[in-house]
Amino acid sequence: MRTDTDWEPAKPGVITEDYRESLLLIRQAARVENSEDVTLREFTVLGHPAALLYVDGLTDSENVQRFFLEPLLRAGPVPADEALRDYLMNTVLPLASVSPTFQLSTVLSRVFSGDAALIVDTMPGALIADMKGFVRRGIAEPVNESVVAGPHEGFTESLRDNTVLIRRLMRTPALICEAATVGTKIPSRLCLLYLDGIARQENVEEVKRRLAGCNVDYVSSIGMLEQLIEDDPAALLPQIACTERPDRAVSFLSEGQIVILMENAPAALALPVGFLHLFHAPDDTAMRWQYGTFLRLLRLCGMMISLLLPGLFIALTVYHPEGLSLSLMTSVVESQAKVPLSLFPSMLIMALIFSLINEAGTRVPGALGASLSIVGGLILGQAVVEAELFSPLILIVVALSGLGSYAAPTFPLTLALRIGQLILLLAAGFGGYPGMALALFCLLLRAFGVTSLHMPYFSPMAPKRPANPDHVLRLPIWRQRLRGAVANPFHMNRARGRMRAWDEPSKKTP
Amino acid sequence: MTGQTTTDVYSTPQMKAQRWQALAEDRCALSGISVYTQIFIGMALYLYGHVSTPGYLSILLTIPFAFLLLFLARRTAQNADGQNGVIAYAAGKRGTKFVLFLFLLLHLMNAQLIFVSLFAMLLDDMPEHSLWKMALLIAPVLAWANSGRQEDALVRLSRFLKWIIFLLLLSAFLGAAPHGRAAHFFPVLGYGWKSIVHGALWMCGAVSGCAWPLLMPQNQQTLSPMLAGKRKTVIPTLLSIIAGCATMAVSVWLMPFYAMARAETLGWRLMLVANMTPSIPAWSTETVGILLLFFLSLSHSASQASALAARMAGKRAAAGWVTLLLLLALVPCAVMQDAAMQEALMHLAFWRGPVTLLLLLGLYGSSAIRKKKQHKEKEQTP
Repeated sequence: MRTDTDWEPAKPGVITEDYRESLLLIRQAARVENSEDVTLREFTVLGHPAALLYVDGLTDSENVQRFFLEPLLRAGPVPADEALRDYLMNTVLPLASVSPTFQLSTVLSRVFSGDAALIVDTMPGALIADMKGFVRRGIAEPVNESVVAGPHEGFTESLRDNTVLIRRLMRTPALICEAATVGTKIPSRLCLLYLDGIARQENVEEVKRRLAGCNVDYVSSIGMLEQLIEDDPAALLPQIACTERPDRAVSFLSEGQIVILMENAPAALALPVGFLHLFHAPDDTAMRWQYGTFLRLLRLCGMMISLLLPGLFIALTVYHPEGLSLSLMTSVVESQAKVPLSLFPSMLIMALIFSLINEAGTRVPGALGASLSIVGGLILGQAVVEAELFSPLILIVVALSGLGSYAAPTFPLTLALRIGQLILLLAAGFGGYPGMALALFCLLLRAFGVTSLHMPYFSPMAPKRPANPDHVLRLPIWRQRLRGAVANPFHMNRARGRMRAWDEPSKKTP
Repeated sequence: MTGQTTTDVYSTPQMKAQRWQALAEDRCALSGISVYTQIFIGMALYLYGHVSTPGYLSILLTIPFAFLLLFLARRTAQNADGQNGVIAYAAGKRGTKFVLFLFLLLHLMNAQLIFVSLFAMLLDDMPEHSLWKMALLIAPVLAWANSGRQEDALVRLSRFLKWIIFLLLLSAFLGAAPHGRAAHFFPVLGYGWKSIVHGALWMCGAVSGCAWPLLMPQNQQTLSPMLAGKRKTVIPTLLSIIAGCATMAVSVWLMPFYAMARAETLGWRLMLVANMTPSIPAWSTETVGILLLFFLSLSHSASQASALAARMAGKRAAAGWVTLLLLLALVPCAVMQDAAMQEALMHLAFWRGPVTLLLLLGLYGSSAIRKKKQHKEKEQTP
């Protein structure tokens, strides 16, 4: 009969000089007999019995053979003044990353991450060598955060590849990459990145505290981790930014935010973030300020349309027709004359159908996606109008609001907008403008109460903080001398003096 | 209010001071918005109905009154121990609880009256008894708005919603411009001065709320910046009054005063505006904007009351008083459908301004005398 301790990876145990005892311990803990891919190769090193433990597929077998087994088998006698472990580490094994460990739990954790562990009779502890060699996806363009200007690289599922992508963009020793794990029974490896001297240490400590306080056996995805460490799980708005783009992660780091990378997650989390971080698109900064500002204003309009238009339309047409011009009112009445459903249920059903098409479009295999858009957008839309099930005006409003929701640069914000839209639509349907205003007030109040790592979500606008004036308008780069206020960075200044120093009158050539 | 807008990441004293100052500024802005909303709604509900000459004169008369109130409230708060609140200082625990009870009750009754008269015209198909049932919604919304972190959210939201006032003015002005007539401002005193004073007294009641935050017991860290900087307390109020006058002027510009005088409720006025300006965005912005400001102002007043109550009970958060708010809302809703009750409430609202002024004068006098005594005692002790 199995007990709870069987489901316990952090088995207490120490690798000692007693080879037989250590081998038995490892064999039992690693379930060598049960798992076909867990390999325990026994051989002799310098006359001592030894064993090498690795997971086939996770570890590069060729490297194990070439840089581990062959040097060990060819090794000469141990010098009299040197311990066996030091001799093996310093002389025999030509590896960059090899380290001793005594804890069984560490050995298991490293081996199941793709490393190889060596135990030798009379040698206390085990030697762990980095031999990772599992199959990994190549670096590709991010699927959900495409840009017009800017790099086209995205994170992959490999933690090390992801840290490399960030390091390549930010070549400074000030970039700290701390290792951490989450999950009490099956730990997942994490990397906590921040810019030393810019990120506030209190924030780093708070993130570590939250990670350490995740009391769950296994964290399967970065989305799950996000939900475990965010401030307010009941809030509609996301409080942690999730990005697939290394350049965006680097931008967060330079603002003093903390980035979390997780093994097997092709994305990074950044915190603390405010609403503006979700509103800004990755390529806003890469474009000239006029284009960036234009796009942001367009995006803001789109988001407002998405949130408010269906509710406003219903409130106006159903409860406050006096606010409509005669021609528009006539057009609404005429288009609605032959339709069996009244305006409010029609709008509600159409909004739900739109969300359904959207969800189905996300889930169907790629090749069918285009067909689904045609079926949903054209055939279904045309059919319901021709069959006089819905008024064409309703379709126009739903289509416009749907289009507006896609203007939001991040998917969680799109979903939040769509949920907000439905809430306002329901409120407008039941109470006209008063109902809608009440719902909007509650939504706004809720949104303004949200914090990210205890920092107000709408900072630096509300509450006001001295910060980079890069809010709704994308001001020229040379006027953005300060960092964002959300992370409360140690050094607020990005530049001392003029950014376009060459343009100073005194430095201009006559 | 707790004032905890951020964590202790604001670790240096300088940063903490900045944070408290920002919070104090936001609170002053919130008070300013409340004053503006009171003026706006007060105009529609009382002024147009009771003043038969251009009402902007009443608002002009209200300005010195508002500043007198602010001056007295600031000086009284400076003289007294602000942390415990001026009212507690003067009236004791029981007295404060009684004042608080009256404040909450009258406030909720007033709010429900506005709510019903407002919604009656905006939702003209809805029977009145349903509207009174809808008015019950105010209590849970207020209770929720004053629970947990919503207190801080209210302060932050004010910074965002203040722009709505400008949008309101802009939309009203743009809508009114083609229809406006300068002749609508006249005759200035054609109907006598009594109605102007009468209107001014109504408005005094509406703006008397601007003095309340300074008398409330609150955190010394937020009270100090509020008292130290005159511009922080005076400017939002001044701006609100100017904005109120501007709104009034736009309204008068839009249509002759006899039409405005007939518009006894805000809903009527909105309908008149809609008829004159068939511009959907302007009308929608004005309606939703006014409603948002109304809810914000309502929550602000309730927040002040519950903060006072919590402090009196020796608690930091006002959560326990949420139930009281809910219960209080049920009583007026049941009795306020009676016309006589509504009339009585209007009378009470009329005397709110003068009573606040008298109360403040008394408080100011007593606090000044006590301070002088303390000063003398200090001088006498070696």
